[in-house]
Amino acid sequence: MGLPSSRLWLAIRLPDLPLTALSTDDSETPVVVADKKRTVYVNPVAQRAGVQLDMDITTAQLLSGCEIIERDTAQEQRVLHRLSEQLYHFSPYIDRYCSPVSAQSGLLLEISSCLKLFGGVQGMMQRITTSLNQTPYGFLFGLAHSSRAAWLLSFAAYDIDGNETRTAFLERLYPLPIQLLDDYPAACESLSRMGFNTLGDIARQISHQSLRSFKKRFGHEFTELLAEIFNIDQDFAQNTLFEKPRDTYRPDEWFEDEIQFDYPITTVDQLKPAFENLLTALGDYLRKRQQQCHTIEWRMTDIYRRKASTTVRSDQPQSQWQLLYDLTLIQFENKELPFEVDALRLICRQTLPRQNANHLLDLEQHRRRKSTTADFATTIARLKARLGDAAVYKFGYHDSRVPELTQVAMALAEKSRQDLPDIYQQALRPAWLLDAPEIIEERHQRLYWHGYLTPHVGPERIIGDWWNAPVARDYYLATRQDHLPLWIFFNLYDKRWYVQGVFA
Amino acid sequence: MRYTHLYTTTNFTFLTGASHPDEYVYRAHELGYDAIAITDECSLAGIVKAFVAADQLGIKLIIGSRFVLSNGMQLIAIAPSRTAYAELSGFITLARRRAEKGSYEAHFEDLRFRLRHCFIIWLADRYQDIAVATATELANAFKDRLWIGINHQLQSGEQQDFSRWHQLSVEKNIPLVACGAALMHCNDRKPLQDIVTAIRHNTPLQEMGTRLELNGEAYLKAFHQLAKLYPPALLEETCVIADRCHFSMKELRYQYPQELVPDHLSPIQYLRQLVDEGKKKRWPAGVPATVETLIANELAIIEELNYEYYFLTVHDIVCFAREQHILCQGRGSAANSVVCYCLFITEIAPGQINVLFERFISLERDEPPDIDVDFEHQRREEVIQYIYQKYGRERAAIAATVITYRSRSAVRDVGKALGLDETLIDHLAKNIAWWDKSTDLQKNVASLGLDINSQLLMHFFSLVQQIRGFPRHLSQHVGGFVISEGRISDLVPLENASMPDRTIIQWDKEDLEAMRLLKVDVLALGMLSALRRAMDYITAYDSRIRSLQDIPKEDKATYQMLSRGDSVGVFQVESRAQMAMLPRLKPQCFYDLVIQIAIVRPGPIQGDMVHPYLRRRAGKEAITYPTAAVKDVLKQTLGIPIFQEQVMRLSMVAAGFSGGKADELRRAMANWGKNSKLLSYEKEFKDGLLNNGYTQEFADRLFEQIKGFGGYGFPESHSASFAILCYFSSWIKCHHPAAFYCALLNSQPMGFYSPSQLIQDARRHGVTIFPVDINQSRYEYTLEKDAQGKTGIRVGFIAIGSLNTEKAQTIEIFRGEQPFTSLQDILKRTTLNDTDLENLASADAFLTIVGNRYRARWQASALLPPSALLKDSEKDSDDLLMDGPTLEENVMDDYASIGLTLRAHPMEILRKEYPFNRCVRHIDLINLPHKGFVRIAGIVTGRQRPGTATGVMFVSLEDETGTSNVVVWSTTQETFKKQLLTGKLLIIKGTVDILTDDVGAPIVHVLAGHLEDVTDRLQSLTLRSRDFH
Repeated sequence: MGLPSSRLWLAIRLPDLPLTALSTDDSETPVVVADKKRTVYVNPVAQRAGVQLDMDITTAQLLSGCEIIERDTAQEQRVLHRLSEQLYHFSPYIDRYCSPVSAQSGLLLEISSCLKLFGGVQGMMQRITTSLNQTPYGFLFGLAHSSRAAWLLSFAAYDIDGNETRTAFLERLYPLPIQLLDDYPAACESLSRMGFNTLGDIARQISHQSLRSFKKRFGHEFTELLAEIFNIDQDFAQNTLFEKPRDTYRPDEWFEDEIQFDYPITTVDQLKPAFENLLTALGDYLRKRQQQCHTIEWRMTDIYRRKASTTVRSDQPQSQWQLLYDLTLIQFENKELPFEVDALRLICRQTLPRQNANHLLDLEQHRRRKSTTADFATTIARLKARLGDAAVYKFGYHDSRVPELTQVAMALAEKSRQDLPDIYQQALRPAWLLDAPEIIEERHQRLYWHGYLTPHVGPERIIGDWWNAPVARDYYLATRQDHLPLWIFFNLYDKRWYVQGVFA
Repeated sequence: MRYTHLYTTTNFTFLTGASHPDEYVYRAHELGYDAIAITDECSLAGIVKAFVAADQLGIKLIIGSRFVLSNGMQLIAIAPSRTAYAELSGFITLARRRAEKGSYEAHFEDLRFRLRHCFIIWLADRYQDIAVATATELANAFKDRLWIGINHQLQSGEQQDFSRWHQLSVEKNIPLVACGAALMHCNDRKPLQDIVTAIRHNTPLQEMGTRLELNGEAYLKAFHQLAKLYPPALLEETCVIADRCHFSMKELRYQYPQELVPDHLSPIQYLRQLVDEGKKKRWPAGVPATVETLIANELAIIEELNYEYYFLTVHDIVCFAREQHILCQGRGSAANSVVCYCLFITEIAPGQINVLFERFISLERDEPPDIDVDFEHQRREEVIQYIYQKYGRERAAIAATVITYRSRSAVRDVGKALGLDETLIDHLAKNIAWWDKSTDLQKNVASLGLDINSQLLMHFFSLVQQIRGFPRHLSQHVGGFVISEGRISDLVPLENASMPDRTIIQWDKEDLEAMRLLKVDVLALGMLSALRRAMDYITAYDSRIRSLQDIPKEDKATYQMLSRGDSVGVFQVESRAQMAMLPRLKPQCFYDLVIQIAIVRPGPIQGDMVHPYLRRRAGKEAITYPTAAVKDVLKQTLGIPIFQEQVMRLSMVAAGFSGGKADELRRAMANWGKNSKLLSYEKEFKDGLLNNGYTQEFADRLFEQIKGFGGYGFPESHSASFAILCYFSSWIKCHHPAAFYCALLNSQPMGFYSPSQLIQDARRHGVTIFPVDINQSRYEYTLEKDAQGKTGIRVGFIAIGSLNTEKAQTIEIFRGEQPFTSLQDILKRTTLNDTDLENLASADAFLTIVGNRYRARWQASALLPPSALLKDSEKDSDDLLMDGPTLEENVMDDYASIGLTLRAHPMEILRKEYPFNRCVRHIDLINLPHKGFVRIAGIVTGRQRPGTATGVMFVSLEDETGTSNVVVWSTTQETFKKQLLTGKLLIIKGTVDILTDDVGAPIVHVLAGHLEDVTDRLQSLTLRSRDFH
């Protein structure tokens, strides 16, 4: 079927990835992974209960009482990325393959040029297997002359002995069902309706009438795919001469730099020039790549190779080194070094593209606002560095009829609701709401809360949240004897008075 | 203290109000209000229900409507007089017709000139600034018809806001009035009100926030509560408004179109003239004296009640249909009228049944008669368009149907609004069977292992229960037309239906009945289409049969066929229950068919009338009558009351009821179980019997039968109208089976059976079925002679569901006399594209010119446009190497493409495999011992659960030899509910029940004990099962 390509592809398919990527223990109970309410992965226990792929989740649950987990494709991609990093030292040519229809995905490695280094196919496969066995992911191999053929052969349970010829690859491909060509669902469906069941059926038809009869029916792209699978040179296209260049895998890049001291460092002050030096280098690195970062890691070692690490985080991504320097100093403030430091290393693993903000022409006001924003960011970062992330939060508005549910503490980075409903413009609502309503005492038949209270305006009746924690209250504006205006209510359930807020 | 509630939003402001209109009225009456206004948003849809309750309680009802204008202003318009009512109804119509279905558009500018007599309550809005100019304009336009409505709901800032409006009131001299909004009749509906709001916003409650009402104060309050909210003057003002309202819904009487009557004649003269003409045609040999008397009596009542126009209008519509050769026939109570018979509206002659005119019209009852006319379902639209054309859209409109929440929709919407897990909701909704009781929902949830006592689920159960029966939206009635002399919008608002260019009124059938408005039901009946087609086919080859009237009466062979239970496709007696009854009843004459149709109904079954009747018919029980009068009534049904009319007659002749009273009794029977007044008639009925010398035992037994009869009894007139069509269709099936099945197939969808089932039945009757063929088929199924010269049926392109209809219709035109020779030839000579060819190839329509469907698809997928063909660039060297499809593949493809197969039945294929090879075929059931064990397998083609108390369910199970009737008792249903609901292929183990005594043909049932769902074995066979209930 034409001139052979010299390439050799190894497909590593991860059949359980939708589940294993989620790090769920599935050995005992029925579990399915679902995407758009249909099953994309079914564990063996659920399979035994009759659950099948592409079944609606209601049926699946009825059949097996299975746990349903939503598919996380981003997580799957992260796993594939990690595996690519891991396998990079076997071959620089690594592609990812993710089926657009099923939940099958995996990696495709072009290994022809690396075989000598690892002692042939067998040797290489052994080492890759050893490497992958250290991961929690199940895997299946396919070896063939092209990436798609290798991928398809990962569905055929053949042992790879390393002596396979192209003819052997083709023979192994022939019994496979055409449904595996699922990235061309229309063509696959049509072929099935014309009586084609296996790849061998297609190969027979091609050998009888060439690829043209497929091309005019299913288009150029699909024919290209067939040519790749069956290793066919089409119509003097001389595929082997103009073979598609292999994509070289680009491993992750990160910043890492170190300063070795001439003498042991015993105080933080002595570290400051090194901090500055390394952070300046990081600043250059980021600027040249138009990147910014959130997190840096300081790693100190002594002459005995003991290590100590400190991580510095900033809420806002930084492309300049100054704030990171300030935050580092805060982090090390009042700290004693764990040992006499021999070397200081700065590591920044994750960067992200720099967001280029629009800059207005230099207006005074704008500059002031900008500087205020920057100051605020610095202050927050400093507070967090000193008090910890959890200690710094902001209040956001949550739309609810129940007053105490309208204020929620949220992380600073979270987006809070900006528009308040009309009721806040029209109704009496205090600026300060207590965390929880406080009981008002009754003294001498008068209401008393740090002083006697006199209700003035009201009631405003609030009834709601009946589905959760029912609330039924009559609210009043009251004045304390020191003229402090308060928002108080009478609880219609327990018949008691409470203070809820203080007006400004 | 006096008070009138002026701002009421019922649940006819869909998904806003949380109480029914009558609940408000009852509550207002309880609270001692002077009056209550129903003011739904741009709607009068709920007012009739409120009116019925108000009329009953004697409380004053005020009609109004609330509008949110395009400028954000809110106001209530109230109709104090008939003129104002017409204005209001017209204004709603205008606003509704401007907008899409379900919404409206009203502008401030409309008010002044459109509402010249209505009272306007400008609703004070706390969130809007008061535009003085607007106030001035309103005050100038409406003068003493304008109020400012103050709505106090214990919300913040009400007191301050009141002073603002008070000031305006003083400045502009516009009185203030207490106008507290009510969204529910009592405040315990607050959760339901929140739920409907959440449903309206399509958002779970938990995320609704301030979109929910602040509190539950929008309800009808007691006087002491009102006194705390409003100054006395504002409460007094409500009654000032009420006192100025004089309009009552009782004033709404409308006139039927009068243009049908020639100028020189009065309506009754014209009607009499038409009846005279008609009776001569009906009785060419002379009208019997009894009939003349009946006609005279009927015409006298019609004249007295002024119903002439109604009869003339229906007559005009029927005449149009006949002129267009559209088959039509009146059904229902109208068949009791000899006048209708003379006008050719109905087909039941007085001698055929015991007509009872009181069942149709009664002087005492003073309720509008109801004439329902069936038309060919495929041509009914022509009749509808005629009505629109003749009377115009202003004078003719279709009644609404109120779509209400049922269990399944309630579970879905309430579950979603409560934020329940979608999978759980889906599961619960799918597992609600049509026969489930409300408590079954709790059982269903409990079976999933969920805690049914959890707070959220308790709310869920309660709210699902509460929302059931709540209106969801208005839809179009199946064919109820209201036609008036003047504008309909003067009576009731119109709004857009979802169908383009279709308008509906805001009232449904019950509202029209309550308002005594006449409506004509223009109904669609598939069997009429089928009969017309069958007659066309038969006339083409048998000149003796030119119309339905030429069909020989009382044909013995036809009755023999029916006595064997051979009635697939026959009108009204084709259900499994009817088929099981036919061999028992063994109909011998037309009246037997009238009984047959009426007896297989829950009423006679629950009233224990079936077995006594059958025993008496078989001569196993003596036929006795307590008196001659009773004998006169029950003679034709052997002493057993089977029809509603007989109960009415008995009450007249034995209990001394008047005709009207007897009809009231019938109505009470019809509503038995739904707050019916039936029991209030018990004493009067029994006393009447005892006074006339009947025994207490007879009186008790008769009344028990009446109760059993309940709402499920069939009127004799209705049954007789249907029996005519039943006989015609039976005769055609018996003598012209090919024409019969061909007509049914071309009239789909109709009846109980799918095309696949009809074709199988046709083959069992020796009719040859030819497959769809590009060179032989036409668009519809057609008759074709087989090799023996017998008439068979050729499957038409209509069977290929995926084929574009217009294109399918053109194939035979392009083909003409010259058959197609290849796919290229088809492409060249027709407008079919590659997708159409693919669809035809899938249906195996190219078998004779290309070969099997694999080859056909292969070729169809590579055809070039005709221009390229001309260049002859494509050589024919493109053969497919693949073998042809196997039998199984062909069968599956047949079902997938045309929904039926002429090859082997799927069961025939599966029969070779375990466990199907151990199942008995339908045809062999008869050879098993009675009560013996049996295992059968088949495709579920029907599930039917008659509304009887026993809760039995009939499942039709089809295999390659026929259809078995499986009886599933309620305990088995409970155990195998899932299999019953979702199984398409079942294996059923049970016992066989064979009845051979006194039957026209053995009756075989399988009593199910165990059901196994083996649908997966069908793979992709797509058979559709139909559920009937």
